[in-house]
Amino acid sequence: MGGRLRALIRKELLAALRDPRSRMMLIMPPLLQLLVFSYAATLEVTNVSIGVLN
Amino acid sequence: MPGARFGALLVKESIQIVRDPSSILIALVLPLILLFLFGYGVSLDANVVRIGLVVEQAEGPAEDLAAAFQASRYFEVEVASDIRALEDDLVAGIIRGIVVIPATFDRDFGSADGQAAFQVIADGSEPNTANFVQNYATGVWNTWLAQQTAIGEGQAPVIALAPRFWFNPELASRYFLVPGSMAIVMTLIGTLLTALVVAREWERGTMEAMMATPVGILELLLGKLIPYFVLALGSMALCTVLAVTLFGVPMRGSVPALLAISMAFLLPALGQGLLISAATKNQFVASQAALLSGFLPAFLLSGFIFEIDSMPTVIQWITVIVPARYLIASLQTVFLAGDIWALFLPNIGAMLLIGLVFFVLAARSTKKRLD
Repeated sequence: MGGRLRALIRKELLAALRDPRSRMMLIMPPLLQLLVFSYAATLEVTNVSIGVLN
Repeated sequence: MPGARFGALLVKESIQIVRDPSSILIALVLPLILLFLFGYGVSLDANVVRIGLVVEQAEGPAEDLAAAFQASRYFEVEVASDIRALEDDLVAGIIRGIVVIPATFDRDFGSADGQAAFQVIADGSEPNTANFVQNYATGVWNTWLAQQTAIGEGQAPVIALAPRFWFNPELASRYFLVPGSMAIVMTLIGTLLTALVVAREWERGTMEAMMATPVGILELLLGKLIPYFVLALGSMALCTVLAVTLFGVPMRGSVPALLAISMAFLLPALGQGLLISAATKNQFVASQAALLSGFLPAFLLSGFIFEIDSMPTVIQWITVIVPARYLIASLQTVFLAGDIWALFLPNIGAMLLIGLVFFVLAARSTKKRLD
């Protein structure tokens, strides 16, 4: 059972990584999300535009 | 006759929507879930904060100040006479801050130069709560100082700051969370649902069948979009009614303005859904792409929860092409401030422009060929 399972795992990985589209889908979105959203998600409040009435 | 043909396409699509359980789920059940989640569940509001209070010498002004902290409705106070007793609690997260009134407080408060100091320690691992601890402590201090001045014991501050909160005086976070979640709902229906449905047609081969008919590309695309347009507007109406009646969100703008903004947003949303389905032609990939490029930006990059001004400049440039950004700004304005057309018109223009780009790209991707 273990040997069969390992063979199946290997086959799935090869199939997923062979197709350029699914390769991209596995690598690009996590990278993009990590970079963009971790910078974007901030609960600090900075650079607030205010008006001053003198 | 093109008119009758188009009408027949519309009727067909509408019947398909009603028959399809996933459409009803995403268009009716999901908005309700999201609305209740953001209206009742998520709360960025000020709440009662548990803190510890160390009074090293309980007499005179120190005791007064300690009593002010204990009486404050923002704090739930655990008193001790030594800070070491509270340190473990702070690390464990049971209390979120410690206020230390040192033994020298009495002496310094009564002295000539009046520089009495007390310490506020806040748990920085949750910056939001730490800010609240700081601000509340400052508030309690200012109130107590004003009382002391009134009875002649302290010094009046040189400048008095009187903050006023326009548009949302109670600072209720649901007043901006609920309109924001309406934007999420419209993105889900416009982008995700459309992408799924059209990709499903590609997968099942019924798109090929449609291409064998004399129907033109424009009629085909419009015939798909208009029923989802109406569906999304219906969902928006449901959410608005719930927001105003159930959550008490004020509606200070006019209904035509709200309609104009929503219709302007649905153009880029539907266009994006169409583009994704035409480019991927596969339900699974279409749903992934719709979530990644439609839902996540609408959630994180649109100003819904995270302020755009606080993001790094590069990310701020990215938000310029997220249509939800313009919708959130307009929705929050129309609900909380009123009809400010000087804000609405540029936002509507930006959304229409982005929608136009998406539609042109989608039309070019949907060729009446099978390769």
